Amino acid sequence: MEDRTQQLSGPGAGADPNRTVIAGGAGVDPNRTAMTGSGSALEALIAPGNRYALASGASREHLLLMLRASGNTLGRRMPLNLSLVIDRSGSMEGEPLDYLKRACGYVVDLLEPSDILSIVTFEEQVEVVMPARRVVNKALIKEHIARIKSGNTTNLYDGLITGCMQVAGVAAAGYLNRVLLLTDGEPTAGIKDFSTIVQQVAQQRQAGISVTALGFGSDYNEELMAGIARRSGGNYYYITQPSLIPEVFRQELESLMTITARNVRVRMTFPRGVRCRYIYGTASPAFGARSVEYALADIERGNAVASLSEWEFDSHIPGVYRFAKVEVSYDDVVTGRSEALPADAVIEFTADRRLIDTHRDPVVQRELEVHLASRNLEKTMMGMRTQQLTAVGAIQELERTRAILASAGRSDQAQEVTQAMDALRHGGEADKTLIGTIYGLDQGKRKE
Amino acid sequence: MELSDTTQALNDRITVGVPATDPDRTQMSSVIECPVCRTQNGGCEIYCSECGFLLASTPGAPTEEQAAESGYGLIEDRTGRRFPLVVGENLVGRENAEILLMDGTVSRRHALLTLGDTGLTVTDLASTNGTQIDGVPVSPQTPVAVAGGSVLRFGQVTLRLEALGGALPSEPTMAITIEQRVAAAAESAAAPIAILRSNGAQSEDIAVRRTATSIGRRPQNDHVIAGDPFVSGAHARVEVVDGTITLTDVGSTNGTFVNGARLQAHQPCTLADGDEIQIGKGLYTLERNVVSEPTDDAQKLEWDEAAAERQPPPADSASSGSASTSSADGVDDGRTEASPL
Repeated sequence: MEDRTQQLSGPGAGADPNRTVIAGGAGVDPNRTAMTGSGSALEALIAPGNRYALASGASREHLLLMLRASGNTLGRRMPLNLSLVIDRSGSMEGEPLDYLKRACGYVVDLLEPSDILSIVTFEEQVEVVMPARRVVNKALIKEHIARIKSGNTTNLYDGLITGCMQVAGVAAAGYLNRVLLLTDGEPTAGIKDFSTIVQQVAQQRQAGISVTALGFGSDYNEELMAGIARRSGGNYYYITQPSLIPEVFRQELESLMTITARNVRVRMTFPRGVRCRYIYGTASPAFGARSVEYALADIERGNAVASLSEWEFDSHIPGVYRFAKVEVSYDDVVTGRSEALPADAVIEFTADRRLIDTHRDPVVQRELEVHLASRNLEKTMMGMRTQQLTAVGAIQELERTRAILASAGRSDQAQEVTQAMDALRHGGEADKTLIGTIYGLDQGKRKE
Repeated sequence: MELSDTTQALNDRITVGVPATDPDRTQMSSVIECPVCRTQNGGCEIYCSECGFLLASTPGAPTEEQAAESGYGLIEDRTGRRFPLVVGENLVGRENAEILLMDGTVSRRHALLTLGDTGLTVTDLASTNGTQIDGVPVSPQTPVAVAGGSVLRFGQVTLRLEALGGALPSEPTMAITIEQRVAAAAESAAAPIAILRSNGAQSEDIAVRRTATSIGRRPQNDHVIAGDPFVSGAHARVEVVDGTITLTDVGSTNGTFVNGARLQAHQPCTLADGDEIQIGKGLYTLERNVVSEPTDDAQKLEWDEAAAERQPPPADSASSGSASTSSADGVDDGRTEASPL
């Protein structure tokens, strides 16, 4: 590990006397290194799939960028500006709505007076149950919640927009904005078109508002809900039964309260003779002539996000080259400052094929396998939808993918695949679970 | 936090094996010339800003293959800096260009150099200060052929076209041979060989060109199908080899269907006129275009005076090729904005 990665910040980054000092020659000033490291919420590790690439002819290589949020709990969390957007269509009547109200009450309990909360419900009509306000009088807010009653149809779009407007209406900066959208069905009123809804969500992200999509029961549109989460950088949850609603709300709130870096963006610029072919798992990377830029998910305390890209090199005169200048920018949620982490992706072009064969990086290789596993899951899902794959066949496919994920250390996702297989064995469906697994893999998030 | 400081600190920790060099070198000189590409770099640069080479190190000897290569390049008179040309399009300009000339008299998008099997052409992209070949101004938006040894002038920057050896570089790349790249560069001037005619209103016709046409939802594809969630990012590829059109599913999620049968992923399927093809929700029928069957695909690519003087393709036939020019690169690097030749 030491061999191949440049560690950007964090402890133990002093110079190793055995390593060749390349430029400067004056040795490392220990104070300077410490300055880079201290106070930085993220540290970045960067590793090409191989230390060497073939000098003559075109070649391809992967690059792994790993961002890790330190696990320390110093500093206050950023106050939340939260909107609960709740489906109260007819199908939610009874147990689901009861648990949902309980979950909302739970959210109110967890929030502090510095946080801002709004509550919006939608059926055919959209109703602002409580406009955005500080969570001071918790009893009053709970009274509002208790008055929510079920209606008939599902006007998801207008509900979502109203929630976003409530969040956007809070003029002050310094809040972590989030809409929690819960629904149990297909949109049946208002705008129902997938691309319009998802586009709207992408616009909201530009304005700094992310949407977490909570799908409940077996009738909601998982493509739509996962699409909303994906385009807005929020989370996606599949809630199988009403009694789990409060637990999922708790999980989401915990995740929000531990976010340490948000608005994470990666910009990579590259020299002549180098091209970035592909960024894995990213919805819309912006490619320039010699640059690529894309966003990553918010990073919670103690978590890491991995981003894999694929590169193509023209023939190079043998030697050491920087093939990408990487700059990660993010907002430090604790200090409220914008930070930047620069890094260099370096590779040596050589004529010696043996060097290439013996210096492949297993960590990068494993990350690639994880992304391939994500594609396998997509294929399995589609195979089932198009009836080309029976449940038995799908379970076999899923088992293979599960094994890959487990061996790559993605135990959370491996467990989700196990759940999907169990559901299939009992005649249920796996899509709602698997679409979340795919999204999780594409985001590259993992607990450290 | 000062960027150069950080880079320096980082650099001290770089672990790639590097030949030992004089540690004082970077501190003494204020300008470092890159030993690989001759770019003048500021004294605080660690890597060459043009080619990425680690400036304090010494480049190795070119490999045998590289020594045998005979590329084309432009040499800047004033500095001796060398810009190698790639087969296909090379943008000359002040911003985001392959041939980046940081001079106030050069427009952001100044001119386009196109290296293809008909030789090298220069097209001025309506630049402010114009382009000259051997002292003769060229008219904007018109491709003009140039021969080796010519002197090109963009604004006030003068470059000499250098043609080493006598042949185009002929090393095959991993996936795409030079021949295919040349063909790809030339195909914007050629009519499609066949058309996948869309049967529905929601999807567009897909033009099948001389080499490979990638189809998918991602913008990097030659033909982009947007707005159909059933189409994968990289969905399928149509290839033309010796006049035979094949369709390959490149591992799409929902599959590619020919006459109702799903294709095995990565197994090319030969298409006949009238075949029904399904990609995502879109249905297409193959219509071959008999007129523009290429006959000289396998022609040896030689750079000679005759080739250099051959007429460039007519300007009016390049209109439909904007999506296909990026096929050789895999990455949409912005060149597709270029005005058609």
